[in-house]
Amino acid sequence: VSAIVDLVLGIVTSIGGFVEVGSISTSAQAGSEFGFQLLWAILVAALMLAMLNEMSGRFATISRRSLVSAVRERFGIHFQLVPLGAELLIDVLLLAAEVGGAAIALRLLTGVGFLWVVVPLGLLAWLILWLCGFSAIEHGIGLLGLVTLSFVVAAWKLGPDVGDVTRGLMPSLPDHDWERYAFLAVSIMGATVSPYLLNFYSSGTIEEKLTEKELWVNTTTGYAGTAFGSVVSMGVLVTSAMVLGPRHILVDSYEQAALMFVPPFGTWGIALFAAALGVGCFGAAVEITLNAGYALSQAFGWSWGANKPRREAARFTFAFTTVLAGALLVALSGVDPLRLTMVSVALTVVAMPAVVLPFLVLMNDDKFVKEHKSGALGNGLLAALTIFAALLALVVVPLEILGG
Amino acid sequence: MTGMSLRPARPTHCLPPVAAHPVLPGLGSSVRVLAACVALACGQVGCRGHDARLDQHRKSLESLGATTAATVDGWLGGQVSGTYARATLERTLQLVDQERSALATSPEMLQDPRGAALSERAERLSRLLAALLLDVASANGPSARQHAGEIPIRPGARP
Repeated sequence: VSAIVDLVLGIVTSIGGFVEVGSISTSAQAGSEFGFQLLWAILVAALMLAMLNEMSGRFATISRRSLVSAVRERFGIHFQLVPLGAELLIDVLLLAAEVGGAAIALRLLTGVGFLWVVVPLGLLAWLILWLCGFSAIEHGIGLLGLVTLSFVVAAWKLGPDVGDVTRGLMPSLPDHDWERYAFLAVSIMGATVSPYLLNFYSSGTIEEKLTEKELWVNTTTGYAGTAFGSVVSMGVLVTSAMVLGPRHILVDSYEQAALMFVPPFGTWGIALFAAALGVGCFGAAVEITLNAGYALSQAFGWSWGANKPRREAARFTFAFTTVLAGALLVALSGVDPLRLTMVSVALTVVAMPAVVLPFLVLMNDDKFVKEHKSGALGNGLLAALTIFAALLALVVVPLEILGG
Repeated sequence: MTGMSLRPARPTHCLPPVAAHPVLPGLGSSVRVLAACVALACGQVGCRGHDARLDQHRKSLESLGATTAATVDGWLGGQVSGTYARATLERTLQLVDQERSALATSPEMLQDPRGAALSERAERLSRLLAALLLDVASANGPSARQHAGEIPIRPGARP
């Protein structure tokens, strides 16, 4: 019974935690500019994420190590500094964008200036991390995040043509602005397969003390949670395509994106959009802050864990506090959160091979995963993903210049 | 408009480069033809870059015009609050100003009659947004309705 409760909570949490600043902005832009044509990019990104989540959960369950700890142990600290540095840089930028997104959500509701709420939001995130254990953080955020299902409801109410949606799930070439199309396709992947998610997932598996017997819970949560979560991202794209596209409204700001909820929800539309954006962004901000603490502590061998009394994990607390403070400074500099998001997702794509390649080696190391090594299919897919990630990393910067 | 031709002339920087003297003496004719093709292609790429940038500015400004119209319509119809309408109009004004400054700081854009016309319409949109912000702040529906009908740049509309 306990495993089934864990499974249901895990799936609900995955759905509620799937949508954040990156997926909302990239999907909304894709929908307003190319209709349903980029749905396939969300599908491909979700498949990649599900596979990586399942593997990182399996790895952590068997080896009792997080990804960062294992990379340090297997490859040494000098190698570790590359993915760690990339991950921390992306964490800081993405965290600033998430806090900025939550601040804009509050501005839509209350009219209070964006910069006034950045520090209070940061303090609230820090207090949650100080006071709550891992399960409360993860499940609380996931349950609140169910408000993002309003994107699916909006798409449903607008009644898209099933044939058009199905055609969107098949990759196709655009009839205009191919550079922009390619940039958005790559950005959707960068927004979905974020390096922080992998280490957060593996660290969470250790925090929740998942056992070898419960590996099926990890597998089911990894695939089903990501599949349902990706439907929310698709809801953003479909709603944007049906509301903003015909009006020729491009998404250059979250204020513009909010208009997509007015036709399906009427007077409740803006409040619902603000709630979905705010909860999605704030939840992701808490998770990214926690992950930054995990990554730094695991890389340097410090005591870590959201469930530990803060006195027993003082360096871990100091690490996440410092990263949060750095991100708040970036957010307070007044950089537009939407632009910051697009830069962060492009950097994520650049860093992806540095995260995925060591993972491929680790998943084949008997010392870590014993008899639970990936099979030929898993290895083939992960190797293909590594090559694909390297190709994306090569093209993302030129695409950002041409179509970003 | 004194001294400026009203004819929508092709911008001079888009003309293919013309060589007054043999540029590559001593080379075979096929190499010269190839070099000329490369030069022509470079010229076309540069020209397409200018046109693409202009098109990008036009699309962005049309989108901001459409955003203004949708926001004011929503506010007049009671579907969005004054708080949201003000926040959106303020942000739209910032984005229009960014577009205007991008157009105004590029001599290439301003030299092109299409760029100059776009810049002028962007300026009118800026002024209109300022007026609409006052209308929303003072809850003056009739004035907002009148101003919304004067949006100078909308998708599909041409000057």
